[in-house]
Amino acid sequence: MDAFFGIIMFICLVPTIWITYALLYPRKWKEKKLIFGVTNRKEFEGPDVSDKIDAITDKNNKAAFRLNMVFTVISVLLLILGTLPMRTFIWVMFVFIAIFAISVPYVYGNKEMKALKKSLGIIAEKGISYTDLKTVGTVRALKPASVILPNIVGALTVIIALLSDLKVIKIADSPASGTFLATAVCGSIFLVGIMITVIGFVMDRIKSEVISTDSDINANYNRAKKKNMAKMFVLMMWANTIFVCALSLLEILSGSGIVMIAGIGLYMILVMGALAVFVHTDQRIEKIYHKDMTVIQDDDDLWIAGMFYYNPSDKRLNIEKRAGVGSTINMAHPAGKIIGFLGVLSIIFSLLVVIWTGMLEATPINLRISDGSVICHQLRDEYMIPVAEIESAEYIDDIHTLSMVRTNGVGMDTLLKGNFSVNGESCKVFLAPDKRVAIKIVTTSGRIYYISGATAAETDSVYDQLSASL
Amino acid sequence: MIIRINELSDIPIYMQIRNQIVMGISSGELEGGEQLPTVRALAMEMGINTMTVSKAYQLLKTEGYIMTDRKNGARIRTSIQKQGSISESNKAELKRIVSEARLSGVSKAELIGLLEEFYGTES
Repeated sequence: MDAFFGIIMFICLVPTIWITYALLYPRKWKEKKLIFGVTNRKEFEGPDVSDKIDAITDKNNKAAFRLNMVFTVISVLLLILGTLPMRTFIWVMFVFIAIFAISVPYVYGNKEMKALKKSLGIIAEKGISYTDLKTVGTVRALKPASVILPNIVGALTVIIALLSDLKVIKIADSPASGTFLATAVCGSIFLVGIMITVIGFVMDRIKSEVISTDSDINANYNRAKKKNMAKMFVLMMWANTIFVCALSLLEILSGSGIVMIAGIGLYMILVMGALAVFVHTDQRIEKIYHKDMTVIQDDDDLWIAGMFYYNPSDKRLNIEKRAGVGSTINMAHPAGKIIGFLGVLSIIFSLLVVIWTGMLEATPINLRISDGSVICHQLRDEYMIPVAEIESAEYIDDIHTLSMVRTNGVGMDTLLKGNFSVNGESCKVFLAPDKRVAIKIVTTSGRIYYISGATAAETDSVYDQLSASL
Repeated sequence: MIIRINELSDIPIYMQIRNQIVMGISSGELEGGEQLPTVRALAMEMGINTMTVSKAYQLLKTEGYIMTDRKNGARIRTSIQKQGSISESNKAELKRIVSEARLSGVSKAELIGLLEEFYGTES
């Protein structure tokens, strides 16, 4: 299972860093609207200035390329070395670091370009903005009809999963039935689809750019860009709805986590493919319209490090990203400040979760009998089962003969912990699955536990002690 | 038609919108009967308060450049009343511009040339 997790992380990370590289690092800067988030201007075309920009772009592009190569090689190594201890923790931390590090040369490039601009005496007129009356509210590409169908399919999948879990309908004799796992998976994916729909419409309604004094050019340019974006969103919605929901239903039918993870891997390939096509087309549009770009809106100083928009005079919350795909928020907007704060909190929370996962991977489980109770311990006492309350204890030679479906808790190659459905029964699980052996305990209150120690010897020892006292 | 807004200008934003729409009508960029964006859409696009756009439209309506109704929103008037005279405030503004030009050493011929250029292209 962890090997599949590695494949998914690989599929997510490697295309992401190369797409980011293609977006942020301009190879032919003369054809681009922005150079490291700084507006490309006529003043940059002079031979001396041009040489300086060549040097800045070369240096930072090479740095980013080298970083990407290193990250790609490490990703391949992590994928090959599937048996690495704490690999989930290493993978997630690596993804965090890689995504952050790939923007570092961009930030340096932005700083150097702003310094060059200053040395040339270019002072942007502050507070200037342009609006084309003919494109206001008229350039839309995402049709509501195109997103209704994938969302209906998604909603139906959730309803089917729910009815299956409520045992109103019977799809197959699946051990997962009744655990609400399929409902949770389908429901989450359906909500992701709804989120994509909302983001799609927000992006479609974003301010049209003014690149020329000719309104027709502005309208065509914005229409081309929004059409490209709408296509990507529709493809993402279909990929999200049909593919993952269908595979989630397969998960109900087969009860196999591998099927679902393989599905997520394929889904990620599709999404990354859609993103790559979008970026390629977007860059082509920029290239085609570059010669028509006669209006320069120089708001470089409002972009911190060329990435974060901060403009207290702008009442808009949602702004087209300067670096990357999609939109960003105006950090000076009251709601923008709250969203920014929540964003930082979620990053901190994600890091804490990753650290917690790492601790779970690194800490061996412990099973012992102490003070008349069976104690399952890892970082803290997970379960304490008084021996007096144990009705029966059965030794399981090979837990892989059991049909186990996680309802909630931890499901790693080396650790299973939490609430599981085992052979259709709701149970508490505390196992080192790679050691194969376990003890099945049934209490007088009817609660069922599947537990083991960090080693087979530890499990055997506790079983012997239990057998003697029962 | 492109509207250029300077947030740091002494001229209020609603007046900048009003002035540029008037210039657009005069130059023919905005034709009679042409639909203007809704107050909300224009405010969202410009990143300004809806009240500012509303004030500009209200002024244009009072001055007879546009007409508004609930069904069709704001449109440029097909026939704008030609009074054949310059308002007192515009006369004062013109006097100020001519005075500043004279003090800056701009010749009368140069100024008339500019006037002819603007009037000619905007007629």
